[in-house]
Amino acid sequence: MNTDDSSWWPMGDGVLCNAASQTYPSCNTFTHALSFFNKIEGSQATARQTAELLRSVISQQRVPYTNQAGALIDAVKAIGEQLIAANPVELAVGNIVRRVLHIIREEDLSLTTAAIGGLNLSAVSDDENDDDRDGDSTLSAAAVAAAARSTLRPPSLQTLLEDTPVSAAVPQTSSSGGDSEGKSKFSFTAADKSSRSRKLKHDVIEAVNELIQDIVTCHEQIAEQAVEHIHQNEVILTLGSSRTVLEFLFAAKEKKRSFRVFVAEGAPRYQGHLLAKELVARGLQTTLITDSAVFAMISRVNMVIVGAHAVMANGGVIAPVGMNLVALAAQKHAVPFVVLAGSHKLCPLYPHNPEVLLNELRSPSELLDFGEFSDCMDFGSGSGSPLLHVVNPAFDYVPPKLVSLFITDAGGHNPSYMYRLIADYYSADDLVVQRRATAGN
Amino acid sequence: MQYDDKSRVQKLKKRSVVKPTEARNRVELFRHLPQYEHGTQLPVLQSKFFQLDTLHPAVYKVGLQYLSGDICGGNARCIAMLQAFQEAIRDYSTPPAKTLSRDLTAKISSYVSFLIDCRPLSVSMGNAIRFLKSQIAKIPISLSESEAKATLHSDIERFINEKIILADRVIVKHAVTKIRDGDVLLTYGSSSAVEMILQHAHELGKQFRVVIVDSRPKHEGKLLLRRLVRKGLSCTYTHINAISYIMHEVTRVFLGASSVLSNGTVYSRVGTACVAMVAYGFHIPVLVCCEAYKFHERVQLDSICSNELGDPDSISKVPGREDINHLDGWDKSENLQLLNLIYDATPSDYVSLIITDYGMIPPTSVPVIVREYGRGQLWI
Repeated sequence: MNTDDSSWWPMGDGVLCNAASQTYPSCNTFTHALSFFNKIEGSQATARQTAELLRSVISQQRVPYTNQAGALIDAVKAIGEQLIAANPVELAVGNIVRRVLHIIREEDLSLTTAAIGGLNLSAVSDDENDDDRDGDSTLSAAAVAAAARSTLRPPSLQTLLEDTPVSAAVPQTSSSGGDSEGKSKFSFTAADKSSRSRKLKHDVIEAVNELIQDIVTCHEQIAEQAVEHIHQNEVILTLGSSRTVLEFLFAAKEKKRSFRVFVAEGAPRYQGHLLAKELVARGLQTTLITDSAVFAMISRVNMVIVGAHAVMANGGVIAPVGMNLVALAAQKHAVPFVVLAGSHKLCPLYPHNPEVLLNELRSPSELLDFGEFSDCMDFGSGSGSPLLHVVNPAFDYVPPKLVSLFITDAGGHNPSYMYRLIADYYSADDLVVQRRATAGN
Repeated sequence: MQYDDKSRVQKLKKRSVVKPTEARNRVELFRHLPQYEHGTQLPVLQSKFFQLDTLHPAVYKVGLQYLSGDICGGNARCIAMLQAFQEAIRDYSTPPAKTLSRDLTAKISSYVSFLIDCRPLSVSMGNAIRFLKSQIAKIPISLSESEAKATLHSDIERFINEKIILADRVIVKHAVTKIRDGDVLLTYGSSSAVEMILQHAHELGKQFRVVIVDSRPKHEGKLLLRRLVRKGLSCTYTHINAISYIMHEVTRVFLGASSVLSNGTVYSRVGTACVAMVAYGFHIPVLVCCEAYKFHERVQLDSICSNELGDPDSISKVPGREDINHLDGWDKSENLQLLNLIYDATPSDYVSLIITDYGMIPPTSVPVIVREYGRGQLWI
């Protein structure tokens, strides 16, 4: 990392500090909140908070003249690493960090290609920086290559070819090494550089604002698709409670579709009770059943609609516990299993052993009363280890072959299509969110 | 009995002792089954204890125990009912102008309808009643009253002994051969047969672990858990939603049954079908332990045509968790129904083996047993 004013490096307990000893306290509070108090509940709220936090990190980050994107990416990765480590089970945090990183890369790329296009007088570009570049002289292909290298993508044939009508020959003294730090042979003016850096931050912040907007409105966009899937006299089954599912069903009710809902209560959190109460308040015919009755009732159900905690890269779903049971029963009775998920829940990671690694075991007191069974949990009896273990996982993994359809704010998709959405939203370099090891510079 | 037919329901109400009130917010899908308000019947019955001379006090007591849920489980209910009938027969005397067999049969039928009002019959009870009536019908006219009563008494004694107690011992003997050292055995709810198997295997010194899966609202697994831990078995306790998580470690699944029907469907506590389905998905053998007297020639495809509906209030309340009170006052809103199913039907493809006192059979052999060892020969 450069040791100039704009760099940040970590102090002991997760506090970032820069050369001027200005700490970054709001990250610490957020990290604490995530890990210790779980005050932020729900992927949507978490995603939104993460995005807003990263937006303020970006806006406060001072970028050097060259390689602004790299600096921004480093800063975001530093904070992102800590956020992810604070609560690894809440995958939405990692998703948003990666989305922001991807945004930075994309904006940088589009700016640079626009800049290159602007340098090329014959190229058509609607970049407003065109005005600044009108007076520039022709550039060599090497300079174009160097410009392409200064972005975070390797130069493509297209960017090189775009310039061929203008330049005659490739000079021998190419900008060797492509070191984007200082050896630029561009005839950018100083005004261009600063305007370009401002432009990058500005674009990135605008894009992050759009991301936040998407996160906030994902329920409405998903709910708009409700009428395509729910017709008259349907019977719908759901488990637990999900705000996305609630909005979805309300939207169908608004459009005067008549349907009944079976809600499985979702022990041990019993969120199904909440959902049933809200559905009834809106005038929907609701029946609350216990989770054990799912197989018994599913033969009379037309469709299963559930929410998800996270959607993994292979199309598998991390959902509240009990969902695999519902999915298996639905497959046996050939009932469509529809998962509603906002795009902030889409995770680019592949689930390896998800029941163990992506799961959280909650307190046994939700299942057994400690007072009642304290004699069984006694470590002092017999061989020294208690005879009784209680298992209370929070999440379940549903493999992609059991899911019929994903409905996201970008439309309806097959589970086999989810990997394409990931290519849209995330860059391959960001799968592991770790700052590059500093090479002593 | 079709409870969606109004005229029949009216007739039943006139005859009945218990006079249950119909539940509000009935679930439409189960209109053909009785749905009554619980909680109101018990105090009414208790107050009537000394006024009913048509009912024998032993039968009355058993009915109250069913209503309050003190006696639970196919074997326990059957034994309690038969012992109450033994007492009733002992105290019975034939009125002057009537034959013993006809009058006693009529009396037993009235007792049975009282018990049905308290709680619908289980299949085991139904088979036992059929046995008893057939024995009463077989009594020769020449027999004196005391001899007839003694015969019936010993017949009932023999039935309980052979069909339930000895049958359980045979089942345990067969089943422990299926338990190996290092096994992790999963069971659901609380079944008397499975409990005996686990205790016997532990006494034999086999090393295994038990996973007990439990569900709402009865939480029967907790009682089983307590009894097993007391005996020194190492147990894991979880709820039915976590079954996909725990099934990775399990090697065998032992389930009990209320009945096995002629198409191989296992009719058992609600949730058994879920457990069997997940076990089948993980390629784990599912062994159902059921005495042969519980087999029935009826067939059933799903859990809705014939079932029992329990008290809906036990779903709206979660004992021990006062913060879950969203559904207080649920009966006031007409859009909300609470469904408390008691039984469900597990398809035969999920079951690997049924262990009975006639041996270990596949589910497809159940109609063979019902037919070959059927009515006539089953009750030797």
